[in-house]
Amino acid sequence: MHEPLTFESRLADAYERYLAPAPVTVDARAIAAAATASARRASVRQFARSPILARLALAAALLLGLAVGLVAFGGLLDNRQLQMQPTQTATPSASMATAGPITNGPLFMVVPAGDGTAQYMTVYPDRNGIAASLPIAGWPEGCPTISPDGRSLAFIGIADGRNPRDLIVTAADGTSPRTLWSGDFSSSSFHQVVWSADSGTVAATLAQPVGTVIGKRDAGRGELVGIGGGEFPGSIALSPDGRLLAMIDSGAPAGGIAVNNLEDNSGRTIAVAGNVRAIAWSPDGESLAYIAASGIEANDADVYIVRLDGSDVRSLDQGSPGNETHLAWSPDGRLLAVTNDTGYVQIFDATGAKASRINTTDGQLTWAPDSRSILVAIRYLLSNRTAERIDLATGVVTQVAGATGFYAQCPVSWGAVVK
Amino acid sequence: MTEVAIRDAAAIESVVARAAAGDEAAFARLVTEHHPSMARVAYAITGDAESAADAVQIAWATAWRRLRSLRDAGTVRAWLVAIAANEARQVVRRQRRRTIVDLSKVAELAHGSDPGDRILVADLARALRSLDPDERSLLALRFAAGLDSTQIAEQLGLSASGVRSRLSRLIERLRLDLDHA
Repeated sequence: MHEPLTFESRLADAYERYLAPAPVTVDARAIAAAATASARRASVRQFARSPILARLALAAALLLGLAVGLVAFGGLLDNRQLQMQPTQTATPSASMATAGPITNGPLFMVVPAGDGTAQYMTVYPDRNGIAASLPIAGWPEGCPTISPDGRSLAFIGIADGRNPRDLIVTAADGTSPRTLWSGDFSSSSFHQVVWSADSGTVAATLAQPVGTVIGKRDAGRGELVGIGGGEFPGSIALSPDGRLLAMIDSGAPAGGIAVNNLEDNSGRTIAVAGNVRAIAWSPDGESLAYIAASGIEANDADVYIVRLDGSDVRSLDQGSPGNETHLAWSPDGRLLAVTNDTGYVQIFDATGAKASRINTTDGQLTWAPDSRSILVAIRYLLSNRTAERIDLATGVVTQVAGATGFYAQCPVSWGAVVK
Repeated sequence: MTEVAIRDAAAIESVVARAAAGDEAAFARLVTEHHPSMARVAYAITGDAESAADAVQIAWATAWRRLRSLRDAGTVRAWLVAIAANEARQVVRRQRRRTIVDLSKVAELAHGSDPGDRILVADLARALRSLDPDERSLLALRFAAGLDSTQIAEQLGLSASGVRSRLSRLIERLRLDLDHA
């Protein structure tokens, strides 16, 4: 006589029999080849017989790869005026108003070294590239992110080769590491690292337990605030002055954006309709742009702007086909870029009027510090991960071929030079 | 080409060591051996074959990069399915889509099976929609990959008792949900 099946065994049986993909023929060698393609530079090193040869071989490979990419990248200092004429411009934040002229600095990206560690790549507009090792054991967790002033890099990693993982801030060249906070950044989670526009504050998310670590760049240590937690890009945003932390309020029954004052620990929720999927703080600190859909499973996400007091909700492109996916304000506060998963990026001016639409791949957005170009990181393409640079003056899309291998989940950081 | 399954501990250790040293053929043997498990786990989390395939592709790249950090070759299967689960969770989060299983496909798949099973599967698909990617991942590692609480705990950096209690709560939630379906 059979014992009656327990619920747990029926569950296991359901997973086994029904919640499985249809069998497919697996080309193991092709998958292996694709997975190893991003580490080709490292294979050059493996063939080398001595440490000196290894360094020379790696340097040669890097320079060769960069040579092609930097032909396209050489136009980053293009000073052509933007052809779009917004009818109204946003007031720049105080920190931006007092800063000197801003020009485009280097790109920063993390590329695999093939031996389980990462190379931190700094690519300058003058076509020189420098690769350095990050001062951590293994691979960084979360998005290594350069501060808006181009001086500092923040990321999560294991400083001493053992747990716990640390929130580390280094100089822009990856040297002079300082641990702002040590704790349980679970390796099974993906962490967001974001800077405030004034570069004074950095925030990093924890998923287990849920929380956010706030660090002041010029202070000794960071602190854990028991709020939030966001594992995907756009789930948290620091106000330009670093005083307020906004995040998607997944606990709000009707959707919302939680805004927490980091100085007095007060918090409130901006009630907005729909399922909020990404947020971005406007450079004047007065409003938030956000992407929301009609429901969790809906494929109708659109972009909106709301003032901090919850008033003046404006839909920028309601009813557009597909989902808006990523959004980012230009550093000068004049323009908002939004990608759509059907394959284009739209540029809106500060009034919400559409300024242009350019066909490109859906991916993470990075603005050039001079607000004249955008990088869109291409996702999911295992063997050809790269980025596209969009020149807003001409609409020309150029592939940045030297950027292969960076985190698909993260935007490439684009550093500024502040004079 | 048919690869021979890697059976004994010494052979596993040898293949992992060679793959970690950059041997692409050895790495391909790992792909042959473990791709189905990874695909199964990823599918149980993402709910659609295309996203699952994306997640597993990324997982293999991650595995290649990190293979040298694997301390015990005997845990390579658990390690790989945990990477696949992690990538699948991220795919779900990025896509912001919570569809676990297309119900019409489930009904089709379950056709001809025991009626009680069909009801369970259809209701299960609905119940899984209400779970976040972390919760789906935990269930997938347990039921799609067949890992026990200790193995899951080792891969996720959690305590085994913590995994057991979370799984227990999740299963109870599903049971109550399905009882009221």
